[in-house]
Amino acid sequence: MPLSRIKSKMEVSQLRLDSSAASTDVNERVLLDGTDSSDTNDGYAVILEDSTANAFDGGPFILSQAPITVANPTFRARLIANQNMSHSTFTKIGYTLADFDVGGYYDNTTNYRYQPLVAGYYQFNIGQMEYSNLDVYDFIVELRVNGAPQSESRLRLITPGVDNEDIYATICTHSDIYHMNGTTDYVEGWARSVSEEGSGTMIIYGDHLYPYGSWLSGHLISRTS
Amino acid sequence: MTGYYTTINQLVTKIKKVHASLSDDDLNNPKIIVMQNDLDGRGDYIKSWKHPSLAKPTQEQLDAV
Repeated sequence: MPLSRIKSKMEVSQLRLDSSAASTDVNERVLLDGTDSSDTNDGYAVILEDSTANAFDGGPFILSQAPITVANPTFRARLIANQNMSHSTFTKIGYTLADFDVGGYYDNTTNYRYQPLVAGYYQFNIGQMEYSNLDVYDFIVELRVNGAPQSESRLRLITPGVDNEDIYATICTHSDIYHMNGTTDYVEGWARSVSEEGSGTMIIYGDHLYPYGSWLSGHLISRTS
Repeated sequence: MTGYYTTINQLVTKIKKVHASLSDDDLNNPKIIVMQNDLDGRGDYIKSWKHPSLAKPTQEQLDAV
């Protein structure tokens, strides 16, 4: 198509290859070829229509769906009060305060999980202070995807001949990268404390005013659809 | 699946009573025994039990102690 024929369209910031046809018009394209005006001479195709959908589909952009307009999803949540747990029992951490949540994918009221609706690879970080003060010698913080343990950090303190060791007020941190499918996948933070006493209420730290002892955070690294 | 226990340490206390010979090392080894709380209000429960010699406590055993 000669440039003169599309110039008027471009001046209104719109270029239509063929407004009368849908995706059945195979091989319509925008050419970056300044050597001639023939629309049969192949140039560099910026957008190439194929027989089924847009050629960009399946890549980093899906042009056949409404685009998701949120910025890169990222969040940080934390406990605003101490949480009690049973001895030696893996317990989901109920982060109720989101310091920020771009996209609004963190559930801080019911399931306490992050379920992003943008598919891609995400980095997640968890940090939790053990706060039982009850001779706790084994403490685990864990990242779970869809309820299944994926990776964890563990502090285990056993000194031969010594009793009453305690990792009270120690913060255990952990990071990892997972792929989220953008629909059903979710991530949660879990913890477990083991006391030498074999009983007593295990406590993990939380305080509304102090954000340094409890957090679950994450952000999108690379989008996959 | 055995039942849920909402009181702190109620489940672990019952397990220790049912199996007095259960060592702390086995109880605290996630590859052998996992107790879990999904924070859904139902409480603690036995998520998995793979002890090589001690059977997973039945609900009747847990109820009896």
